[in-house]
Amino acid sequence: MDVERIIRKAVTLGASEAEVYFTRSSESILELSKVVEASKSVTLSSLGVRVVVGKSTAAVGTQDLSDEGVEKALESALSIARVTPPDTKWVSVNRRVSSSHVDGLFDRDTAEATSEDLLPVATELLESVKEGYKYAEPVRGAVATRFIEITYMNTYGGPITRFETLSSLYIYVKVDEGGRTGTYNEYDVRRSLRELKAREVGIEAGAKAREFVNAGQILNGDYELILLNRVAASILFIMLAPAISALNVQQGRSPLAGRLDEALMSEDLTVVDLGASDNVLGSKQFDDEGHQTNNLVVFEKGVLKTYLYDTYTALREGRESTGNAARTYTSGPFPQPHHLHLKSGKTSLDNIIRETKDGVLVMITIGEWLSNPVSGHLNATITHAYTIRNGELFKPVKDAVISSNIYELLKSKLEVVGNDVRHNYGVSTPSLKFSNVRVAGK
Amino acid sequence: MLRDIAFHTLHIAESSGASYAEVRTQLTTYELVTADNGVLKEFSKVFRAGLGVRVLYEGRFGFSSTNDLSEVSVDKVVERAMAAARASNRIGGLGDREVYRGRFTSYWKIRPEDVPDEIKTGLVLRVNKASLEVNGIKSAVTRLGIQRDWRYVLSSDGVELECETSLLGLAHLSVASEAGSMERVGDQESSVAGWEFIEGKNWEEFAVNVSKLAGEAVKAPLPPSGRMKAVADPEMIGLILHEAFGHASEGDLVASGMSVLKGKLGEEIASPLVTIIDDGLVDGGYFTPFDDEGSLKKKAVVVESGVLNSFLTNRETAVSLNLPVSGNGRAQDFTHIPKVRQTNFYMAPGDWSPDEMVREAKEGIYLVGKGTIGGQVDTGAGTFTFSAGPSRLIKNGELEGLVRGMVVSGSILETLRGVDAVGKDLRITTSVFGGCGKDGQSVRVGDGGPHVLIKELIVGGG
Repeated sequence: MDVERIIRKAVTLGASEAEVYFTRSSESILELSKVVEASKSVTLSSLGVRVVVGKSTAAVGTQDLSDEGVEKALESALSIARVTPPDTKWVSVNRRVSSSHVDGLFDRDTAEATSEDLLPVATELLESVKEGYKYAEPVRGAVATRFIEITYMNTYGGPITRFETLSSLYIYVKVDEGGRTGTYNEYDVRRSLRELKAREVGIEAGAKAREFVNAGQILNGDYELILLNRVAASILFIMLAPAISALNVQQGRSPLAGRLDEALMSEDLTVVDLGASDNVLGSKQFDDEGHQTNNLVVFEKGVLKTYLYDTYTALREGRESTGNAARTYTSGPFPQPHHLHLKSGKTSLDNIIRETKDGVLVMITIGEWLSNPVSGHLNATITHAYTIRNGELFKPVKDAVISSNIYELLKSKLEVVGNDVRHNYGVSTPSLKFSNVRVAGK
Repeated sequence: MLRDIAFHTLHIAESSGASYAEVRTQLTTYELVTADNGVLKEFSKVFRAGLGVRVLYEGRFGFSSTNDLSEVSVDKVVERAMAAARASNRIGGLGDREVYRGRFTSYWKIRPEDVPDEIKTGLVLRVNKASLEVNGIKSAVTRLGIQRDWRYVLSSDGVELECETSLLGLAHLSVASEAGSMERVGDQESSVAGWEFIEGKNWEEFAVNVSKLAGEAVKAPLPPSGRMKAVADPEMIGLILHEAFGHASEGDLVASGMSVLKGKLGEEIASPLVTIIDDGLVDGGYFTPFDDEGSLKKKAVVVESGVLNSFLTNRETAVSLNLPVSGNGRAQDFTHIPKVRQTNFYMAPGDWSPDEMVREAKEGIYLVGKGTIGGQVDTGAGTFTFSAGPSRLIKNGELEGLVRGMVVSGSILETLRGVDAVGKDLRITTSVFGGCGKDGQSVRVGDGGPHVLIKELIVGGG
């Protein structure tokens, strides 16, 4: 794709500024039940163009990359921008197009993997479920690889290109025994196919599904609550990512507006956005408007140090972008974390459990994305948890709702930070223990 | 041109040894106009076009897709679909169906794409500014969404179907602030229609009402946590049915053992008051005359007077479950394999009025859909959850003060057994801003029902 020609053409047609965001991706996926159910392979190229006329902007995305398709996209963008009322806060697109040095984001074998290359991993995953428990059955899952190439250019600089690979797998397992059913799911995500821990995932899912055959119910009440690392990570991202976005802060939709340098969390909590770290899932050389990325301390020992900026929100405050622009080819950029990392504590999960008298260890939740990051109110529905009595896992339970204010949890109710950081795409945290959390159960 | 490419692709697939092939081409445009705090933040247009091919080779399925429609690329797509079939190891078949050729078009009077852009920006800005004038409103986002979707399916057994659908709507979010506390309320209305849908409604009033509700909700308490009786309004019951029951009735989840409804056909799984229908063509819902495998969508009565009557199927799962093909094989777009999905999933009306249900409940909660964000289910574990908008507590058989939006949860098998009354007011809705997610695919759906009284749900309050 000749992105320079597109920029030149946009200027010829009357754009005062223009930017091009071009992506090329290919993915291979094996869908699993007890066996490899189906397989697919997809290649896509997509072009996003944003043009500026004075202080009016318009974004057009297209997957019709013929000369006529690109021309139509540009003309459409210009015609929208001409009738769009100006945004008086608009300054310019990113004038400092540049990259950071970040390694370990790309693996050639993974980029070139075909459906057939994924087969051994799928087989290992399916077979290992029975190693976890001989009567466990895999019922749904997937093994996937993805390669993505992103090119950015605007009227001030570029083009620059970055490459990324991802490989992932998940498995949902069921055990039917004595008229009761136990389920569990587990997953893994890495840069390269060969790093995936298929066997560990399969064994864990099989063994846990067996335990949840006898899941009971939790009584309504206030408990010492331990969020397993994977649950803590999901909740942290859902509640914090929108709240630390400078756009939401400026537009009056964040509870963190005007609270820089305040201690909003326990001093045991330090949260960093790892935008430019080698081998981290979500780190990249430049953000989605061609600005170099950074590793940014967002909360230092509980104190809010910065919001995350793209160019638009940064220039509104007369400052430099933090390199946190995200976008798809269908839209303009907006600020978003690359990889929110909650720093490890010192206590193992076993020791956290040992120090708990009457508690709940939450293994899997659904619906945490239904929480409200504007009010800070957290809700998550527990599908898999254990009750804890006197330092030991007591019994598996399900069907309850956690309900609390996230900032109260992370400040006054935080008791222990675990040392078991788990890395997902875009977020990593250890397990966390809180005191006195309301659980709506039986 | 896309038709010619589809014929060419089908021919190549068949001559490569596929015993069956299905080619889908698609052309979609999506316009989104967004105003944020009185400023036109973004006007975007997206054009998508591409092709997906599914082959059956020695009993195994493979799928591949691309948006590069050159002859070389199309040949490669077929090659990759065949390679994908070789990587699969499940031997499957395809359920019998009647073969149709034809063209469907949803109704519109004024083509939204023909409406000048400045009218669209003017509307969105006007609505946004009106909502900001309500006391206590700190932030407001208004979005106008317009989608045109053209799908074409061609298959080895002679199916040739095309469908063009026009869907549009307006969504609004208001954030209120009061004494250091903040609350958001969002709402949307969409319709399979033309621009006449937008012209026929006072959207300033719609957005002002959202703002007023946010202003009241920010001062409201959370409801108490725990299990309680609930009267759910039509929007809520649509969401509850979709999450609590619809997904578990999808044939692929049943066949793989991931649904708690497996093995329960013919059993009484709900209160006798409950009848549940999945229909591709219904007022207020999304327009789905046929599915992405090219099977006509048939009206399916999934639950009849409490008895589980059928599952939703596509051609593959119809064979595994030995059921008829219900035309529910749907894909987000040309890059995805069709999965068993709901179309417009709703509860048939009964004969109660909402007031009678509130009186009958005596104590509990009246769950309101306005302001909901959605829901989620684990069909294997049998647990579902959804969010409700600002709602009201029920005390002594009467509606009491407003409580903030919250999350509610329940068990698939218990909730529908606990339906004590079904209202006579049926309402079905769809959305141009969202859809239903499964296996990484989102499809447009409709859902709804009448007001319903449920014995017990878990409310995650304060």
